[in-house]
Amino acid sequence: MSLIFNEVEYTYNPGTSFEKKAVTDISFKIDDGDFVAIIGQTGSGKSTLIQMMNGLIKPSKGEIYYNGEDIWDKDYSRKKLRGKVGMVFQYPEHQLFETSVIKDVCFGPKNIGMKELDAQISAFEALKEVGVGDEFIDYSPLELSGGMKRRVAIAGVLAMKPEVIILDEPTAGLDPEGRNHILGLLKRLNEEKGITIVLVSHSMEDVAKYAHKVIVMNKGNMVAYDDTMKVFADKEIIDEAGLALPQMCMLYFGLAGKGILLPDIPRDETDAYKMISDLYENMN
Amino acid sequence: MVKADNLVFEYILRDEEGNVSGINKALDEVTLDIHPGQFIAILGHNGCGKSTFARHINALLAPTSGTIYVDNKDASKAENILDIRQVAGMVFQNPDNQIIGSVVEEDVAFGPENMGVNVDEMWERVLDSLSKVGMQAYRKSSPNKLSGGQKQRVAIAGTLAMKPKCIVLDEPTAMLDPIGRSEVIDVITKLNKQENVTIILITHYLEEIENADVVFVMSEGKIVMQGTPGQIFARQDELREYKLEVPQTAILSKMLYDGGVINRKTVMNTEELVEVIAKAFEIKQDI
Repeated sequence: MSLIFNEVEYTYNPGTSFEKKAVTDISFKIDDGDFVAIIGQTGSGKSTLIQMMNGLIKPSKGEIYYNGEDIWDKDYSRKKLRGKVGMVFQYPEHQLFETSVIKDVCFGPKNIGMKELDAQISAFEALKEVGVGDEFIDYSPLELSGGMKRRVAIAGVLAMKPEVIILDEPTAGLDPEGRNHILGLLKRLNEEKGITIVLVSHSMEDVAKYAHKVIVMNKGNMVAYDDTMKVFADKEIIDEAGLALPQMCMLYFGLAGKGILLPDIPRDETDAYKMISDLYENMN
Repeated sequence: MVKADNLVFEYILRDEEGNVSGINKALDEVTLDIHPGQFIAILGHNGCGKSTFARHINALLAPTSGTIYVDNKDASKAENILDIRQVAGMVFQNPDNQIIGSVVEEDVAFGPENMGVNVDEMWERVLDSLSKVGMQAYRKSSPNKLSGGQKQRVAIAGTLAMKPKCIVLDEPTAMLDPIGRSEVIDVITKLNKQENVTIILITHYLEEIENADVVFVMSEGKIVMQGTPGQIFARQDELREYKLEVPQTAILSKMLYDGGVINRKTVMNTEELVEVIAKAFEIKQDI
């Protein structure tokens, strides 16, 4: 089971004077149960890429396979695909529209053909999973705080029981508590339920801490796709893509420049602390 | 420059029939004094009252009680409002909501034109402001074609052209990517140091307060912490309590200090921390 892109290209407004190639020659394979981050500057093609992952836009060239099937084959049901590959857009709380939280979360599952009762059960489970208590289910979504709204929006996708969830900057504009809650949720969904996560993020620190693999986009090209720490070890590619290294990575390179070689690039500050203090204690 | 004394602002909540159902104190006895030429940062999580405070500096909101003086003028008096808005320029979070011109230079010209500045001087100010934010090359461009950071710099040029003594920026980087964010922070730091414009930066990113002279932390409408960036960073547990995110470098430096590796409690940027750690290793080697 996997998601495969084969030499995919996408051009906006082909044949007009506004013609613009958004992504070119993209090939990769995302395995089941992986946690992949997509990083790149604004305009590098990240959004175009994820919209192709669940068939919202059709590639101008190339093929996309989900579980071995071409999603643009004429017999393929893209409606079902969108239940299996769920998408959480940027600021998803702007898309809440129903009169109550439970109705909003039920919308997705019902739309892909789940029966009323099944949809409700699935919605309850999803709300529990994201940490929205029973007492809120009859609230209007508009009455909730920003962080809560976003969790409801994610529950709406989760209730469709997807195999893959794609999220476009799910933590933008949230305070640290809200961010940690969402990122912790993604980690749990990935580790405990085996859901594949594709995360678009501007926070290199979050990417270093949570993602197993990273895709780096630069001007419509995929310039790197590898294990997270291997990608961040290649300072040049990150610089060229106009991105900053995670702080702990900068620290690693800075210390290496002073002849202090840490055994590995630290993922986060706790990691870095262990490495530095070990090295310090064991000096002779 | 800005002097607030026991400033209180209440939102009145009404139910569907219009009856008063509650009162929400967005500002709760805020007292502070900002001097000309200072770079001030006001930190706080969503809903802490920092934007409400910003709107008082520009007389967009009038206090429920207490006083606020901007450039020695009482902001609650209607006759002072126009003067105050020329003294204190404002830049908001979303660049798309505050750019109105269809060409960059026209957008920047809107403020001074509105103030009745004569045409020659107006264009002089437009060019001058655009060059101060590094956007002169785009003066004939359409704002729609600019990146978020560039749009925000145009918005800053628009306030600069009115020659304000003070610029209030309400989360100017919240919707920008990392490059846009550093562009904006570099420009405002430069305006403060070179042009001596008083800067009041409202943000929830701790990374952005490094260059500030004084930092205020707000929570639930009150000022709960006050000090230099170094002093503020040293109180990490409190910052977390107020729902602010401490950068990894600062957390690590405190861990290393507590663990007896380095002798400085708070280091804010990564390059500095590299130096401090290298020094600690050197000293240990000599022993």
